[in-house]
Amino acid sequence: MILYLTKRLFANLLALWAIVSITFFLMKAIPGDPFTQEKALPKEILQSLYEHYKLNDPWYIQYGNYLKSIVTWDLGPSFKYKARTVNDIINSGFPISATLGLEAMLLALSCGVVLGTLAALKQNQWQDYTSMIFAVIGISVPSFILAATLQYVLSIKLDLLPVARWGTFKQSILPAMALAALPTAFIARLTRANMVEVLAMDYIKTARSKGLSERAVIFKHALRNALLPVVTYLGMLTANILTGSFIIEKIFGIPGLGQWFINSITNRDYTVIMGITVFYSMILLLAIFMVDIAYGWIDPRLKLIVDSSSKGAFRPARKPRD
Amino acid sequence: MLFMFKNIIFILITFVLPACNTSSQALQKQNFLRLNIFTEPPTLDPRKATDSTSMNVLLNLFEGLTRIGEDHHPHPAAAEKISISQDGRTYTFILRDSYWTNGEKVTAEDFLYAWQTILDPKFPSLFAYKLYVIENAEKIKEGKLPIKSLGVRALDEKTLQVTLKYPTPYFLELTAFPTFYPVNKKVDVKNPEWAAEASADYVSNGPFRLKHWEHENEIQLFKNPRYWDSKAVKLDALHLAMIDDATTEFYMFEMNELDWAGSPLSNLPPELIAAFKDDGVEQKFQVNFYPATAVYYYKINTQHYPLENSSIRQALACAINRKDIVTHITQAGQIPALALVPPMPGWNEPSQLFEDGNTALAKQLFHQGLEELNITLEQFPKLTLCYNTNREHQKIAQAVQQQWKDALGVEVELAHFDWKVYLSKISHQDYDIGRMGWVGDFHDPVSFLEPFKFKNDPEAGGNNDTGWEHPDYIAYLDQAEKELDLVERARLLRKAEALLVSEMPIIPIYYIVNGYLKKPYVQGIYLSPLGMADFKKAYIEKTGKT
Repeated sequence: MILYLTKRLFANLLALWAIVSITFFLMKAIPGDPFTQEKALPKEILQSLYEHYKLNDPWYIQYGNYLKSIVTWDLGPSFKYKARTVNDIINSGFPISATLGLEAMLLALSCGVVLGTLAALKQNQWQDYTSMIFAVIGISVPSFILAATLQYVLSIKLDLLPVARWGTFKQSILPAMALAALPTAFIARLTRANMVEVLAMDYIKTARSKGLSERAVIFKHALRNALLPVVTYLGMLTANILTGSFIIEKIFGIPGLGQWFINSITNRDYTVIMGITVFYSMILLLAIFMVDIAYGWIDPRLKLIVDSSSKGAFRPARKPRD
Repeated sequence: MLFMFKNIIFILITFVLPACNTSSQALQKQNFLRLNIFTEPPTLDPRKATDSTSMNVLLNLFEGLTRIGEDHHPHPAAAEKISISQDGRTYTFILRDSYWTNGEKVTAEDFLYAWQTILDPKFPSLFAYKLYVIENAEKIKEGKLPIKSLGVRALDEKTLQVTLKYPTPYFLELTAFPTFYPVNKKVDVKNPEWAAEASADYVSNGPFRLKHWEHENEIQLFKNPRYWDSKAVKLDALHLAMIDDATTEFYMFEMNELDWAGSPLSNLPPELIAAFKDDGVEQKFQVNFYPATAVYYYKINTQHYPLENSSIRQALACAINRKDIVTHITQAGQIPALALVPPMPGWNEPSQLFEDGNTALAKQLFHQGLEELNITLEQFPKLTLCYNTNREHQKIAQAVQQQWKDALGVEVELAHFDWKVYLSKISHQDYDIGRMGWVGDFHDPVSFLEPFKFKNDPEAGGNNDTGWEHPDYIAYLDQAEKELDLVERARLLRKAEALLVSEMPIIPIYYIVNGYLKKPYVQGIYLSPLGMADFKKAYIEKTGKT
């Protein structure tokens, strides 16, 4: 097990290095730099800025410095926001995005599973159709339209919730709803599809014929298996939703991390681009890693077995169902 | 699993229920204003600031030697007396007794120190070139002269003497600009990062002080009791939110969570301006407009065939119907531009140097151009009109594309790019025609004419990417620079403008207008046509109804 974890860790570090390198070279390849502006700057001022921010160094020195800054987790100052370092930006933005993301995730998970299960149990009845209409809307309506609609209806027309900003629980409800719509719909569809499949399995028939109550059949046997793909999806979702959404944060004026993903590129704010890309990649790799581990724990059929032929390499293997 | 499911339902309920209980926003009657500055100000160190967000916050935190008054003219501020030498090159400022927020005295040395650091070749200041009007400033920044040679002397604690390169009639306007603000030397030496947070080290000398700065979320400025003119400051505080979305800002204004929406701190959503402008309809909101010292124009790459021909360029300019564009597309009371320099204090009448939407004349000029180039209309190549990705620019470009096709039969292709990609294309002169907006730095035509004095070297950059240069134009501007007689100076500048427009390396489209919404109780804000808002004398009208 330890060997497996170590191997995974190394694979992740390699992936991280690849991400950092590709981002670095892509970033340098796009036209414009942090000081490109409408009113052009005199040459000597540009030179003094390049010198100050070490942009005159050859690319391998700059690349080396970036790698070093990532290893030491001292990501340097933002080029545009002179009062801010990239560490500041992550430290202040991430908790906010993560709180909002967590709220949205709980909302998505609970609503999604309920809707999906309901739809599967009442297959081809009105409950099914209603749930799936919601799911289709959730998947197809872009989040900015949903956000604006929620703002207009719940804040402007009904005056129930604040329009925007961050700080109180009430202010977090609208953005969490807007953020949760897509994953809710996705989870609902996923749960329904798997639930339908699982309910047709022999062991469910067995459970029913044993005289188990319908509740026990659903919750103890069916749902548990049907939720496995949802767990896989949660890995990706966690990384995405915890690091914030550009659109939702912009519309609701939330000082999270999400806005920086786009703004840093628009501003060609090199240190911020690198810093948050690495941070996001780390969260993503970590989330996927956790899902892998969680899988073995949730699903007893799934074990990390030793493949003796390849000298102690561990690989996840799936036993045939039933 | 059942337990987990129950939990999920419980959480679901706790999430949905609080949505049902809320209170309606009580209307504010406190003595502060709630405004939106759109984004985090990139810096609150006046020496490093370049963008309008930072500039607007700084304007309310600091006091320069002069401050622009409601008459749009500079008035003595941190300086009490200003004397100008006969040759117009030496300015002597006698400072009044005024104090920093930490109780220390504002001295001439603080001004000298701030300007010297800006011009230090190692100091990262983008706007250092604003100080180039001072003798030797440019050479110092280039590293060719020592900092001691700067034409600024602190004769004693209260006397600052500045020697300029040329007589600069707008110099007292420049000294009101944030790049010319003083910086407390003791604090800056002790803590170079003093401007990063709202700490005790953040010292300023203006109407307000920095009380609270929650990055990317909110800034609070409180009245500065140590300000020399604090009697004139009526507000207790300014609450500056950072909401990066015009529609959300408008919603918050509508819900009485903001007292102001739109220029100059942010923008109104363009579709709202159009909606509220509908004449004859009783409007819920009245959008206020005021002219900006700014022009929207199309740059032409005069190095590209066939745009090297000035008759063709003039034909393109005449074929555009600006009146249609401002009435049907931009819709916010913009003024069709028939010259480069917008109306501004001291330049009230903008010139009218060519005809708007005169298709007959345009056709005539175009055929003349074709003859000069010795080609037919069929041989006239397809032109590309570029703009940075933005709905408003796109709509204008589409209209111009159609107008050129209708009037001249010219085929034009539209292309749009991300802002920085766009700027780098333009500065590398990899374009035919491209849009640009230009806001003046100060109220003087030079701010608009100077950028076209010399053509850029595409490698070195600069502001004249048109490839156009004219010896007479350079001569007019050189003469104006040294001219002491203001009437003669204005005549020279008008001549330069007329020459530029007759050569048409740029096609003026319209003079920009700013729009905003405010609550009726908000009064006394000075809105500068250069895009600044001064809250020094702002107040809340007590009798006003919300």
